Amino acid sequence: MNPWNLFVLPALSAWVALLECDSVLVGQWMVSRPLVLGPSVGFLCGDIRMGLAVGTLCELFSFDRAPVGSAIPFNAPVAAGCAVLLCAGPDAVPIPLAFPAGLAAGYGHRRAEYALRFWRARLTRDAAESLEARGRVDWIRIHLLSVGVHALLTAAFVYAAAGVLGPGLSAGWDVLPDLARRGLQNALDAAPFIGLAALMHVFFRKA
Amino acid sequence: MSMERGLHRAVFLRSLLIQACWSYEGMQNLGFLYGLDPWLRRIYPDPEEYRRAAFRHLEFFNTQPYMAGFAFGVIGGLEERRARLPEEQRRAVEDQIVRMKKAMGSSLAAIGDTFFWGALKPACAGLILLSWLVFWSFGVSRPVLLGALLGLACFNAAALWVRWRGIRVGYATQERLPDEIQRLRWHERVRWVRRLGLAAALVLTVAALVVPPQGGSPGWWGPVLLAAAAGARAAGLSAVRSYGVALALGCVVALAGP
Repeated sequence: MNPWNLFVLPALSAWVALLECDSVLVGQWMVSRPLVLGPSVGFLCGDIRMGLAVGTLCELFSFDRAPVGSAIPFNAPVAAGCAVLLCAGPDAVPIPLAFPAGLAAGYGHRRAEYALRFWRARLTRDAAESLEARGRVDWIRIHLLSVGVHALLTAAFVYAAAGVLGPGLSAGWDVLPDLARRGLQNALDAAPFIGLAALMHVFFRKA
Repeated sequence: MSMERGLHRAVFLRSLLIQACWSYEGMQNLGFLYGLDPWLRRIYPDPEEYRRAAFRHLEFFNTQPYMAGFAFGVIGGLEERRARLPEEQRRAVEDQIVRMKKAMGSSLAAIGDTFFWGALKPACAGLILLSWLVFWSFGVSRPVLLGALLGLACFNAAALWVRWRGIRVGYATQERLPDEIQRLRWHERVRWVRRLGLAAALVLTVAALVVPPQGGSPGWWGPVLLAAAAGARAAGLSAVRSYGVALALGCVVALAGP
């Protein structure tokens, strides 16, 4: 294993997972937004402009669906984190391919989040048993378990997405027909306009 | 009615974790109990009374996280009232607590979702992008950091204020909370924030048309792409699906191109 996969990628995956906890579980201070997360990961990777570009696109694409009630929109922080790490890694996946791969990772993480939300029901049962037996709830244990498992799963997901997909995507880009490569580049050129249209649409929606 | 500052601070800080144990079964039930826990311990020094009260709040609860402060204040106040009543009258207040939690959860969520998710969050994203554009144009040092901090400060000033103030307002008004909420004129605020956000988005769009993000000089395709994307979004096509269509069309253009 090279130093990137052994040290750098785990640390950066942990950073993405840490910031991602802000999106639902802790605080909701918006530090998990791709506009913040993208440049921060880009900065840590030594390419803040790339992080900024990818983060901006992921942010604009995330306005399609609000995290209302039990809805799980595609995970924009994970999408931005994966896309930036794919671009910044030793395989240097080009942005036209890294961006859709990041979006796919954001959608993939929804399944993990869905499973976690079912799993967390056991925490209520733990709390009820604890109240019944000892007259108090062990809040530290419950929160560490809930947030810790979520963060670990997210970090593992980001690591797998960037570490496993990276070499494959990079090799795939080299053998991709020129037509597909140009198609991906054209789609990326259109992405800012698609994102801006999505942003404007939010403000026209009925209050 | 006034609330002790230490208790207010404790409930506020704990409210930041209201979604930490979110599950499909109880949604924010554990987070709500965690937030109310110091209050319940103060109201019910008797362990058995505390245990019964804690079990009442393990029931399903869900609302918009920033608006939860109002619910904490109202329910904490009702629990205090219940504790002061004689045993035979307590049942009525317990029923009222259950009803209030259900009613408040959905109505506060409707307001909070519209204001925070539907207006303030996208407006602050627009503000961050606009500030980057301005800071870069004027050669301000550390534009990325400054722009992000500006947007985060604007969002969190509102979000934290509502979280902090909501607890006190809920406690002071209790059953009169809907009138108080009405008095805060949320719809008007939503309209204003959306206007500001739209103005920022329009400036960004014009900038993207004049200076294409992918480089090069502006061309006829910029307005065409924007019109197509806006049309697709208005027709209900999500940005990701539009991107899929753009990918397919991009390949067709590449096929037709030189």
